[in-house]
Amino acid sequence: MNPTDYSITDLIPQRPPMVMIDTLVHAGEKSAGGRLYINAANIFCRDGKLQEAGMVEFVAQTAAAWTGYLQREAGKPVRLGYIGSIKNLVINSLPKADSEIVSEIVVDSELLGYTIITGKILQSVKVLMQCEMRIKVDSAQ
Amino acid sequence: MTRENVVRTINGLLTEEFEIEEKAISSDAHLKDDLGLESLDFVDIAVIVQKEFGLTLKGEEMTSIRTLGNLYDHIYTCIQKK
Repeated sequence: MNPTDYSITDLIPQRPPMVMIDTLVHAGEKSAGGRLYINAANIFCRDGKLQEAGMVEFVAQTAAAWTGYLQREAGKPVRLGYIGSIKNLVINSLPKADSEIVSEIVVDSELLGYTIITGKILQSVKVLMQCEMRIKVDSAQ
Repeated sequence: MTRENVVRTINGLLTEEFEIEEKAISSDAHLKDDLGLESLDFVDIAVIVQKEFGLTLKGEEMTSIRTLGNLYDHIYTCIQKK
């Protein structure tokens, strides 16, 4: 199945109102992309803009959806993931509510039980934020 | 790549990335007790080691690394084996 064939809640453990990705648009061996329409009622919106925490969560959930997709395709259950740390976070601007943003993640490596990704969020061609993230995926499940 | 290069790279990481004072850095320094490194810091070290030296540190190898000297030696030994 293609990633877009899945309901997003089949790929990630989060549930509304914490779901911060609408669709996993594409998923490769080491990369993925997602899409989010920012509803004005989004819990991470303030003063009509998506706040930094919401953007970080969007990147993290893109990585979670990517892992979930690979797990599903392998016939395995979706695993929980935790943000271990965020490095080199750059936020250029906050997107407005009632607009759409996309995410791109690249898996740089998997070391010591952590998945190290580089993530960015774009609106049209403008990069709104980028960061490196260390994600611990629960291996006990 | 010499052992001195390894030492210089790792020490640079410790001072720049982890803001550890140079005077605290010695081969005998215990990574956790003396330098205050935590589990996630080891992930950052592993990332730098991979970028700088092309080595992938494994969890089971890291458990035997207690001091900075152990870390220098481990990396240098792995480079020699490449």
